[in-house]
Amino acid sequence: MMNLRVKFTKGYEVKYVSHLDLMRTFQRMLKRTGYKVKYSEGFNPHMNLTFALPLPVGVTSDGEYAEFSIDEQISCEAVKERINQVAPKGIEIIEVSEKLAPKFKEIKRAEYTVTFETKNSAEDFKKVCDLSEILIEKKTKKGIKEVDIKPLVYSCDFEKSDDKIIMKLTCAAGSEENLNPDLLVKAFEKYIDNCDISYYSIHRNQLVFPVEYEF
Amino acid sequence: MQNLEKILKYVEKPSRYTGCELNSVVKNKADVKLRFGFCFPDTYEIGMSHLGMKVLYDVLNKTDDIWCERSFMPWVDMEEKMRENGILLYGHESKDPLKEFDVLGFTLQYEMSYTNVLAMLDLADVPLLSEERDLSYPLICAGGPCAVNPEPMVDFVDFFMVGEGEEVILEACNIIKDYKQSGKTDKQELLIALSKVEGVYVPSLYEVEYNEDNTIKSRKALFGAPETVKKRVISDMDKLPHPEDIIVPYTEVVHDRVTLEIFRGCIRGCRFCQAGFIYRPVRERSPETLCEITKRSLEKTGYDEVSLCSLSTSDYTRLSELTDELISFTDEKMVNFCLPSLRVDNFDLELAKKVQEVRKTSLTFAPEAGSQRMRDVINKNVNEEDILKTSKLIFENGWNRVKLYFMIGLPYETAEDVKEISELAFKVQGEYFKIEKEKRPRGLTVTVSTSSFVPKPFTPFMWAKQDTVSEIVEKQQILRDNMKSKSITYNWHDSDLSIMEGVFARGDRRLSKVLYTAYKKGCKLDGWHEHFKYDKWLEAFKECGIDYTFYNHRERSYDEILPWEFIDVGVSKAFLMRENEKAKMAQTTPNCREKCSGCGITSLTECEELRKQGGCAK
Repeated sequence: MMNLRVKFTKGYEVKYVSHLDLMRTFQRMLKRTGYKVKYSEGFNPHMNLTFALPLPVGVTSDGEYAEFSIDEQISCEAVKERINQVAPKGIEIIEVSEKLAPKFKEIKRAEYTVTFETKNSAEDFKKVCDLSEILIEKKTKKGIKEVDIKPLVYSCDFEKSDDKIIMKLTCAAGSEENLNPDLLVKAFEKYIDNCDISYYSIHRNQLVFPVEYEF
Repeated sequence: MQNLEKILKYVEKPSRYTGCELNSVVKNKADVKLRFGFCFPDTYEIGMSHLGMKVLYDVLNKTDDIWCERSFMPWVDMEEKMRENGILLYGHESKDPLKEFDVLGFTLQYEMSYTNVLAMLDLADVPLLSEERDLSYPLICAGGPCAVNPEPMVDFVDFFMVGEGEEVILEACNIIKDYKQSGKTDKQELLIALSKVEGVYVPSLYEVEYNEDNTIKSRKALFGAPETVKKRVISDMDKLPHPEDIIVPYTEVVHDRVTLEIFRGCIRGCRFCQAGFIYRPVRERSPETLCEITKRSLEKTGYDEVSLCSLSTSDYTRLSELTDELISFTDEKMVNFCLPSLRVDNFDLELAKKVQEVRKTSLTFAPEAGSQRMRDVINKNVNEEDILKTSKLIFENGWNRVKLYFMIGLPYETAEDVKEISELAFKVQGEYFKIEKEKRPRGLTVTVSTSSFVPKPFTPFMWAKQDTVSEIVEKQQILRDNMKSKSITYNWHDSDLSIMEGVFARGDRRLSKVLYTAYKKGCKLDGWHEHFKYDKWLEAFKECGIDYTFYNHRERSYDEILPWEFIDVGVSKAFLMRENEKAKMAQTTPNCREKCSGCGITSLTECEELRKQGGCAK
């Protein structure tokens, strides 16, 4: 039995696949490998498959993680190749490892690149990030409430490239504290006078483990 | 290729609009000579559950110089965003506007999707009316069960394909491809050429005259088009390819699994059921072929569920052999195996147990009618004893939920017949309570559902009057009053939708203008309860000066020329008349396996059931 952690991408082809649908997509992909994947015990067995952290719908990523076990004894490289043979467009396994530490719950932050098509300047965006509090309405289970997302934004840098503005963002990610970059975009729209963002796209570069994690 | 990026963020379930699913086929535009848009006039979730689309997608894309893509009816939020942003309806594979395609093919699965065909053409920026389109626009074709009465759709569709599509769709595409390659642009010339293909119907090549009482006086074929259009039938099922590398959707669809078509046709001949007549004769695939198909499908899709598909699964001659063989490898692969509708008269307990190893979910049976007299009228050869015996059996074996399906508004039905539906529900409940408390599962639920019967072409009831809304409501009231029990739930359907369905099912070509008017008034997604606008439909009829009751609320005489009579589905009018006369006397007809009733299908193709009986009755 091999317990595996895989690092994978979620490309533009599948960026609108929701977390639940991605789980199903992964299960089917693993079934197509022909490997004996480990299932849970009990009356209604399901594939034991864990994702590090859900990726919001519409966000692409170069660094997602999942774990599962297979009843095989082969090299990680072989597993990687086999899965990629049967993977749908947009999903690619970049790394396979038998090292399952540090645990997914140790993840506390993530790095994003957000690209804006906008008439506003980098300075306009920067000013919002420098505010002492960034209040934004957030939909929760109990209804809409106003939250301060400033403490969740760890760093954000801007640069201009052609007619686009690119934001490098490091923010809270994980089961305890988490910031969906969409909320920060909403904040820009709220705080910037004459805000004009015609389009933006969000890409997750990586999930950050607390200690240097290497495959 | 259109850029959808800017709108997908703002719509529900965006992954149903993105394409890129596993096994979707992307070809190089420059390498293909004909681009076909397979249009399903309902949402992605419904369309992607449809086996017919998978079959034809496979057949077309296996042809090198044809590229078939898919398109669906966008949900209202998507439609709005598309219109706001000037995005035209597109093929899911290339995202190119459908307008650029050579052929768009709509499958007509139910009448209430007709306005969606118009909506999709409109969203594609293709003129709705056939006469307003020259060959710079795609040709619009249609098929599917509703194409056995294509007349209400004639103003919009250039040609129909009647019957099984696997062969005819390729023949038609090849003619179109060659014609276009030759550089000619005369649409009528092309349509005349298409009309020579068996199974193809080109409505613009016919003239219809009417009597003063609005019935049809005559039909005239022009330009050498055939007087009768014969449905296409594939004779050897084992030679017929079954799709294996089917598209695996990202978002959940209604039937999200490998679907195995085990046979076509049905031996039963239930008199209300159009499918039972238009899909004749019965042709089975062998268990060996089916198992091979299943194995390869599972490998190529990674699905974890397989289901059998046919009009009556338990009539498959080698069912236990097939299920044993399937289960022998599905279990090991952690794949679920499920069975659809079971008949109550040959219910196989062992089979039901095999399929539902662990969880005892509900079992569904369809007695269709409450009284024995009515069940004989509709030729549902099931008796009360079967129903009660099976109920007892399943209760004793741990099931506590039963669903019973019935129809109301059947021809020759009385209030007494309707009342017997509730009596039957109580008898089923009674079987449960007869069992000792320790030996039966707890918490019985009997769910009774009634739908309103809609008479369809090519059935013995095609001459019948359909019940009016008030007649249906009255019958539903009888059941609501008589079905008061803690363990019995009664569900019924709104009858408005059935009324409109009935009109278009047996409509003639004059109804095209009603469809057009209704669409312009905002009717679309009619099959979705929340979008069905009965008042708009009634307005549309009024504006067009057409009394809809002419189409459904009158009994037709045998000598009336019916709008669909020029189509030959194999079963003869004489046979359907005989069946209707027997229905009036509540006489049943044996199924095809017991005794051939000479339905006439042998005029089109061989019939295996008849061959087994050693006969050749024409």
